[in-house]
Amino acid sequence: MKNNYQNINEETLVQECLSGNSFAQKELYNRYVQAMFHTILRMIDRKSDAMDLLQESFIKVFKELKNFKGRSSLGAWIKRICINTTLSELKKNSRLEFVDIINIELNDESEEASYELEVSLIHEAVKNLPKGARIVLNLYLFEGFRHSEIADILNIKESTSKSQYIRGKNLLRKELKSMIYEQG
Amino acid sequence: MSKDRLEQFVEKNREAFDKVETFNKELVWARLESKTHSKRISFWKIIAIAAMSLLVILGGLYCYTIMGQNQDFETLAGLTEEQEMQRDEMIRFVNLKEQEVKSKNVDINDFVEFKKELEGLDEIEKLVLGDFSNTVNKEKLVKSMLQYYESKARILELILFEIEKKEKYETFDKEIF
Repeated sequence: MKNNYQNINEETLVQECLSGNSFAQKELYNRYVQAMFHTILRMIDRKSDAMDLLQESFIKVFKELKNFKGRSSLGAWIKRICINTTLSELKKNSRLEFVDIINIELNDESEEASYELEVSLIHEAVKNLPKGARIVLNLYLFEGFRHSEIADILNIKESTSKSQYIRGKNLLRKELKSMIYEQG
Repeated sequence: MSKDRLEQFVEKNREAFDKVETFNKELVWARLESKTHSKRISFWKIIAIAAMSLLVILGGLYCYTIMGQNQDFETLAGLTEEQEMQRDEMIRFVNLKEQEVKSKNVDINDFVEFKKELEGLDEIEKLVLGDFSNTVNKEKLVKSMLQYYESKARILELILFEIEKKEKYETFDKEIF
Protein backbone atom coordinates (compact mmCIF):
# COMPACT_ATOMS: atom_id res chain seq x y z
CA MET A 1 0.00 0.00 0.00
CA LYS A 2 2.76 2.38 1.01
CA ASN A 3 4.66 1.95 -2.26
CA ASN A 4 1.59 2.87 -4.32
CA TYR A 5 2.12 6.51 -3.44
CA GLN A 6 5.70 6.75 -4.64
CA ASN A 7 4.65 7.00 -8.27
CA ILE A 8 1.54 9.14 -8.05
CA ASN A 9 1.54 12.63 -9.49
CA GLU A 10 1.61 15.83 -7.45
CA GLU A 11 -2.07 16.69 -7.90
CA THR A 12 -3.29 13.27 -6.74
CA LEU A 13 -0.83 13.33 -3.88
CA VAL A 14 -2.19 16.67 -2.70
CA GLN A 15 -5.78 15.39 -2.92
CA GLU A 16 -4.89 12.27 -0.95
CA CYS A 17 -3.16 14.37 1.70
CA LEU A 18 -6.19 16.60 1.98
CA SER A 19 -8.43 13.59 2.53
CA GLY A 20 -6.26 12.75 5.57
CA ASN A 21 -4.40 9.82 4.04
CA SER A 22 -1.34 9.41 6.26
CA PHE A 23 0.58 7.33 3.68
CA ALA A 24 0.21 10.18 1.17
CA GLN A 25 1.29 12.71 3.80
CA LYS A 26 4.40 10.65 4.54
CA GLU A 27 5.13 10.41 0.80
CA LEU A 28 4.85 14.18 0.39
CA TYR A 29 7.16 14.62 3.36
CA ASN A 30 9.69 12.12 1.95
CA ARG A 31 9.72 13.84 -1.45
CA TYR A 32 10.65 17.25 -0.13
CA VAL A 33 12.18 16.85 3.32
CA GLN A 34 15.82 16.51 2.24
CA ALA A 35 15.88 19.64 0.06
CA MET A 36 13.88 21.68 2.58
CA PHE A 37 16.16 20.69 5.44
CA HIS A 38 19.18 22.01 3.52
CA THR A 39 17.35 25.19 2.48
CA ILE A 40 16.67 25.92 6.16
CA LEU A 41 20.11 24.79 7.31
CA ARG A 42 21.91 27.13 4.90
CA MET A 43 20.01 30.03 6.45
CA ILE A 44 20.15 29.10 10.12
CA ASP A 45 23.31 26.93 10.33
CA ARG A 46 22.49 24.98 13.52
CA LYS A 47 21.27 21.47 12.76
CA SER A 48 18.97 21.12 15.78
CA ASP A 49 17.31 24.48 15.00
CA ALA A 50 16.95 23.44 11.37
CA MET A 51 15.16 20.24 12.43
CA ASP A 52 12.77 22.20 14.66
CA LEU A 53 12.03 24.66 11.86
CA LEU A 54 11.59 21.82 9.40
CA GLN A 55 8.97 20.28 11.67
CA GLU A 56 7.22 23.61 12.12
CA SER A 57 7.28 24.23 8.37
CA PHE A 58 5.72 20.87 7.51
CA ILE A 59 2.99 21.40 10.13
CA LYS A 60 2.15 24.62 8.25
CA VAL A 61 2.37 22.79 4.91
CA PHE A 62 -0.23 20.19 5.96
CA LYS A 63 -2.41 22.85 7.60
CA GLU A 64 -2.33 25.19 4.60
CA LEU A 65 -2.36 22.55 1.86
CA LYS A 66 -6.04 23.26 1.20
CA ASN A 67 -4.98 26.74 0.08
CA PHE A 68 -2.41 25.46 -2.45
CA LYS A 69 -3.82 26.50 -5.83
CA GLY A 70 -1.11 25.07 -8.04
CA ARG A 71 0.05 28.49 -9.31
CA SER A 72 3.62 27.35 -8.61
CA SER A 73 5.00 23.85 -8.23
CA LEU A 74 4.31 22.16 -4.92
CA GLY A 75 8.05 22.14 -4.20
CA ALA A 76 8.30 25.90 -4.74
CA TRP A 77 5.26 26.47 -2.51
CA ILE A 78 6.71 24.31 0.28
CA LYS A 79 10.06 26.07 -0.10
CA ARG A 80 8.41 29.47 0.42
CA ILE A 81 6.80 28.19 3.63
CA CYS A 82 10.17 26.91 4.87
CA ILE A 83 11.91 30.18 4.01
CA ASN A 84 9.20 32.32 5.63
CA THR A 85 9.18 30.16 8.76
CA THR A 86 12.97 30.42 9.03
CA LEU A 87 12.96 34.19 8.45
CA SER A 88 10.30 34.67 11.14
CA GLU A 89 12.46 32.71 13.56
CA LEU A 90 15.56 34.74 12.67
CA LYS A 91 13.65 37.98 13.11
CA LYS A 92 12.29 36.78 16.46
CA ASN A 93 15.71 35.97 17.88
CA SER A 94 17.78 38.85 16.57
CA ARG A 95 17.63 41.99 14.53
CA LEU A 96 17.80 41.07 10.92
CA GLU A 97 18.93 44.05 8.89
CA PHE A 98 19.73 44.29 5.23
CA VAL A 99 21.73 47.41 4.53
CA ASP A 100 22.12 48.76 1.03
CA ILE A 101 25.89 48.93 0.76
CA ILE A 102 26.41 52.15 -1.17
CA ASN A 103 29.61 53.41 0.43
CA ILE A 104 31.57 50.26 -0.10
CA GLU A 105 33.07 49.56 -3.43
CA LEU A 106 31.30 46.48 -4.63
CA ASN A 107 33.61 44.91 -7.08
CA ASP A 108 32.45 41.50 -8.03
CA GLU A 109 35.74 39.77 -7.46
CA SER A 110 35.13 37.06 -9.94
CA GLU A 111 38.77 36.39 -10.67
CA GLU A 112 39.62 32.84 -11.57
CA ALA A 113 40.61 31.26 -8.32
CA SER A 114 43.41 28.77 -8.26
CA TYR A 115 41.70 26.46 -5.78
CA GLU A 116 39.38 23.55 -6.50
CA LEU A 117 35.75 24.12 -5.57
CA GLU A 118 34.05 21.44 -3.48
CA VAL A 119 30.42 21.08 -2.48
CA SER A 120 31.11 20.33 1.19
CA LEU A 121 33.63 23.17 1.43
CA ILE A 122 31.22 25.72 -0.01
CA HIS A 123 28.47 24.40 2.28
CA GLU A 124 30.68 24.97 5.34
CA ALA A 125 31.90 28.36 4.12
CA VAL A 126 28.33 29.62 3.66
CA LYS A 127 27.66 28.93 7.35
CA ASN A 128 30.41 31.38 8.33
CA LEU A 129 28.95 34.33 6.42
CA PRO A 130 27.19 37.22 8.20
CA LYS A 131 23.46 36.61 8.48
CA GLY A 132 22.19 39.24 6.02
CA ALA A 133 24.61 38.37 3.24
CA ARG A 134 24.14 34.65 3.84
CA ILE A 135 20.37 34.84 3.46
CA VAL A 136 20.50 36.83 0.24
CA LEU A 137 23.28 34.65 -1.16
CA ASN A 138 21.33 31.51 -0.30
CA LEU A 139 18.11 32.75 -1.86
CA TYR A 140 19.85 33.86 -5.07
CA LEU A 141 22.62 31.32 -5.57
CA PHE A 142 21.06 28.14 -4.17
CA GLU A 143 17.30 28.67 -4.29
CA GLY A 144 17.24 30.42 -7.64
CA PHE A 145 15.16 33.48 -6.73
CA ARG A 146 15.56 36.67 -8.75
CA HIS A 147 16.61 39.86 -6.95
CA SER A 148 13.11 41.30 -7.43
CA GLU A 149 11.66 38.22 -5.72
CA ILE A 150 14.21 38.38 -2.90
CA ALA A 151 13.33 42.04 -2.42
CA ASP A 152 9.70 40.98 -2.05
CA ILE A 153 10.44 38.11 0.35
CA LEU A 154 12.73 40.17 2.60
CA ASN A 155 10.87 43.42 2.19
CA ILE A 156 13.99 45.24 1.00
CA LYS A 157 14.98 47.17 -2.13
CA GLU A 158 16.14 45.26 -5.17
CA SER A 159 19.41 47.20 -5.09
CA THR A 160 19.94 46.05 -1.49
CA SER A 161 19.49 42.45 -2.56
CA LYS A 162 22.04 42.91 -5.36
CA SER A 163 24.61 44.61 -3.16
CA GLN A 164 24.20 42.09 -0.34
CA TYR A 165 24.59 39.29 -2.87
CA ILE A 166 27.88 40.66 -4.25
CA ARG A 167 29.11 41.25 -0.73
CA GLY A 168 28.12 37.70 0.25
CA LYS A 169 29.83 36.22 -2.77
CA ASN A 170 33.06 38.11 -2.12
CA LEU A 171 33.03 37.08 1.54
CA LEU A 172 32.36 33.49 0.51
CA ARG A 173 35.41 33.51 -1.78
CA LYS A 174 37.56 34.88 1.04
CA GLU A 175 36.19 32.25 3.40
CA LEU A 176 36.91 29.49 0.90
CA LYS A 177 40.47 30.70 0.39
CA SER A 178 41.05 30.83 4.14
CA MET A 179 39.57 27.35 4.66
CA ILE A 180 41.74 25.90 1.90
CA TYR A 181 44.80 27.67 3.35
CA GLU A 182 44.03 26.20 6.79
CA GLN A 183 43.68 22.73 5.30
CA GLY A 184 47.20 23.16 3.93
CA MET B 1 24.96 38.89 -16.65
CA SER B 2 27.38 36.05 -17.26
CA LYS B 3 27.90 33.55 -14.50
CA ASP B 4 31.23 33.33 -12.75
CA ARG B 5 33.05 30.17 -11.80
CA LEU B 6 31.39 29.87 -8.38
CA GLU B 7 27.89 30.34 -9.80
CA GLN B 8 28.54 27.83 -12.55
CA PHE B 9 29.84 25.31 -10.03
CA VAL B 10 26.77 25.69 -7.79
CA GLU B 11 24.43 25.37 -10.78
CA LYS B 12 26.18 22.25 -12.03
CA ASN B 13 26.23 20.58 -8.62
CA ARG B 14 22.96 21.99 -7.25
CA GLU B 15 21.47 18.63 -6.20
CA ALA B 16 24.60 17.66 -4.27
CA PHE B 17 24.13 20.72 -2.05
CA ASP B 18 20.89 19.19 -0.75
CA LYS B 19 22.65 16.00 0.29
CA VAL B 20 25.66 17.35 2.17
CA GLU B 21 24.38 16.79 5.70
CA THR B 22 22.61 13.83 7.20
CA PHE B 23 19.83 14.12 9.73
CA ASN B 24 17.20 11.88 11.29
CA LYS B 25 14.21 12.59 9.08
CA GLU B 26 12.20 9.83 10.78
CA LEU B 27 12.58 11.62 14.10
CA VAL B 28 11.22 14.84 12.59
CA TRP B 29 8.33 12.86 11.07
CA ALA B 30 7.57 11.19 14.42
CA ARG B 31 7.44 14.60 16.13
CA LEU B 32 5.30 15.95 13.31
CA GLU B 33 2.91 13.01 13.56
CA SER B 34 2.59 13.34 17.32
CA LYS B 35 1.68 17.03 16.91
CA THR B 36 -0.97 16.12 14.36
CA HIS B 37 -2.26 13.34 16.64
CA SER B 38 -2.44 15.78 19.56
CA LYS B 39 -4.92 17.75 17.52
CA ARG B 40 -6.88 14.57 16.84
CA ILE B 41 -6.87 13.83 20.58
CA SER B 42 -8.35 17.25 21.28
CA PHE B 43 -11.06 16.45 18.75
CA TRP B 44 -11.87 13.12 20.42
CA LYS B 45 -11.77 14.78 23.81
CA ILE B 46 -14.42 17.19 22.60
CA ILE B 47 -16.49 14.24 21.35
CA ALA B 48 -16.09 12.48 24.70
CA ILE B 49 -17.06 15.61 26.62
CA ALA B 50 -20.05 16.14 24.33
CA ALA B 51 -21.13 12.53 24.88
CA MET B 52 -20.74 12.98 28.63
CA SER B 53 -22.80 16.16 28.60
CA LEU B 54 -25.50 14.37 26.62
CA LEU B 55 -25.55 11.59 29.17
CA VAL B 56 -25.80 14.05 32.06
CA ILE B 57 -28.80 15.71 30.39
CA LEU B 58 -30.44 12.37 29.65
CA GLY B 59 -29.66 11.19 33.17
CA GLY B 60 -31.29 14.31 34.55
CA LEU B 61 -34.35 13.82 32.37
CA TYR B 62 -34.52 10.21 33.37
CA CYS B 63 -34.46 11.02 37.08
CA TYR B 64 -37.06 13.74 36.61
CA THR B 65 -39.36 11.36 34.71
CA ILE B 66 -39.31 8.39 37.06
CA MET B 67 -38.87 10.18 40.35
CA GLY B 68 -41.87 9.48 42.54
CA GLN B 69 -43.56 7.18 40.01
CA ASN B 70 -42.19 3.76 40.70
CA GLN B 71 -39.61 3.31 43.36
CA ASP B 72 -39.27 -0.45 42.90
CA PHE B 73 -35.72 -1.26 41.96
CA GLU B 74 -35.31 -3.38 38.91
CA THR B 75 -32.29 -4.34 36.88
CA LEU B 76 -31.92 -4.37 33.13
CA ALA B 77 -34.63 -6.93 32.68
CA GLY B 78 -36.44 -4.64 30.27
CA LEU B 79 -33.78 -4.98 27.55
CA THR B 80 -34.63 -6.79 24.33
CA GLU B 81 -32.41 -9.63 23.15
CA GLU B 82 -30.84 -7.42 20.48
CA GLN B 83 -30.18 -4.63 22.97
CA GLU B 84 -28.62 -7.08 25.38
CA MET B 85 -26.34 -8.35 22.62
CA GLN B 86 -25.27 -4.82 21.73
CA ARG B 87 -24.62 -4.00 25.36
CA ASP B 88 -22.64 -7.22 25.93
CA GLU B 89 -20.55 -6.53 22.85
CA MET B 90 -19.71 -3.03 24.04
CA ILE B 91 -18.94 -4.25 27.55
CA ARG B 92 -16.60 -6.88 26.08
CA PHE B 93 -14.87 -4.20 24.02
CA VAL B 94 -14.47 -1.86 27.00
CA ASN B 95 -13.15 -4.76 29.12
CA LEU B 96 -10.65 -5.60 26.41
CA LYS B 97 -9.38 -2.02 26.32
CA GLU B 98 -9.19 -1.95 30.12
CA GLN B 99 -7.12 -5.14 30.04
CA GLU B 100 -4.82 -3.61 27.40
CA VAL B 101 -4.25 -0.53 29.58
CA LYS B 102 -3.61 -2.73 32.64
CA SER B 103 -1.13 -4.89 30.69
CA LYS B 104 0.98 -1.78 30.04
CA ASN B 105 1.66 -1.52 33.80
CA VAL B 106 1.13 2.24 33.91
CA ASP B 107 -0.12 4.39 36.70
CA ILE B 108 -3.53 5.73 35.66
CA ASN B 109 -2.80 8.81 37.82
CA ASP B 110 -0.32 9.86 35.11
CA PHE B 111 -3.34 10.59 32.93
CA VAL B 112 -5.26 12.91 35.24
CA GLU B 113 -7.65 14.32 32.64
CA PHE B 114 -8.56 10.91 31.25
CA LYS B 115 -8.95 9.53 34.76
CA LYS B 116 -11.40 12.31 35.64
CA GLU B 117 -13.42 11.60 32.51
CA LEU B 118 -13.54 7.89 33.25
CA GLU B 119 -14.72 8.57 36.80
CA GLY B 120 -17.38 10.94 35.50
CA LEU B 121 -18.58 8.30 33.07
CA ASP B 122 -18.72 5.67 35.83
CA GLU B 123 -20.97 7.95 37.86
CA ILE B 124 -23.29 8.37 34.90
CA GLU B 125 -23.31 4.62 34.33
CA LYS B 126 -24.63 4.07 37.83
CA LEU B 127 -27.32 6.67 37.30
CA VAL B 128 -28.43 5.47 33.89
CA LEU B 129 -28.35 1.76 34.60
CA GLY B 130 -29.88 2.12 38.07
CA ASP B 131 -33.49 1.62 37.10
CA PHE B 132 -33.77 0.89 33.44
CA SER B 133 -37.22 -0.69 33.39
CA ASN B 134 -38.93 2.41 34.77
CA THR B 135 -37.71 4.68 32.01
CA VAL B 136 -40.34 6.01 29.65
CA ASN B 137 -38.19 6.26 26.52
CA LYS B 138 -36.18 3.04 26.61
CA GLU B 139 -34.83 3.37 23.10
CA LYS B 140 -33.20 6.70 23.90
CA LEU B 141 -31.73 5.33 27.07
CA VAL B 142 -30.32 2.30 25.29
CA LYS B 143 -28.64 4.64 22.79
CA SER B 144 -27.24 6.72 25.64
CA MET B 145 -25.98 3.61 27.33
CA LEU B 146 -24.21 2.46 24.18
CA GLN B 147 -22.77 5.94 23.76
CA TYR B 148 -21.48 5.71 27.29
CA TYR B 149 -19.60 2.50 26.51
CA GLU B 150 -18.28 3.99 23.28
CA SER B 151 -17.01 7.09 25.11
CA LYS B 152 -15.33 4.93 27.70
CA ALA B 153 -13.69 2.78 25.03
CA ARG B 154 -12.44 5.89 23.22
CA ILE B 155 -10.91 7.33 26.38
CA LEU B 156 -9.17 4.01 27.02
CA GLU B 157 -7.91 4.03 23.43
CA LEU B 158 -6.55 7.54 23.94
CA ILE B 159 -4.72 6.39 27.05
CA LEU B 160 -3.23 3.50 25.03
CA PHE B 161 -2.20 5.92 22.30
CA GLU B 162 -0.49 8.20 24.83
CA ILE B 163 1.35 5.21 26.31
CA GLU B 164 2.52 4.10 22.84
CA LYS B 165 3.62 7.64 22.02
CA LYS B 166 5.63 7.79 25.23
CA GLU B 167 7.24 4.42 24.46
CA LYS B 168 8.03 5.58 20.92
CA TYR B 169 9.82 8.69 22.20
CA GLU B 170 11.77 6.67 24.72
CA THR B 171 12.93 4.38 21.89
CA PHE B 172 13.96 7.39 19.80
CA ASP B 173 15.85 8.89 22.72
CA LYS B 174 17.76 5.62 23.13
CA GLU B 175 18.61 5.61 19.43
CA ILE B 176 19.92 9.16 19.46
CA PHE B 177 21.90 9.29 22.67
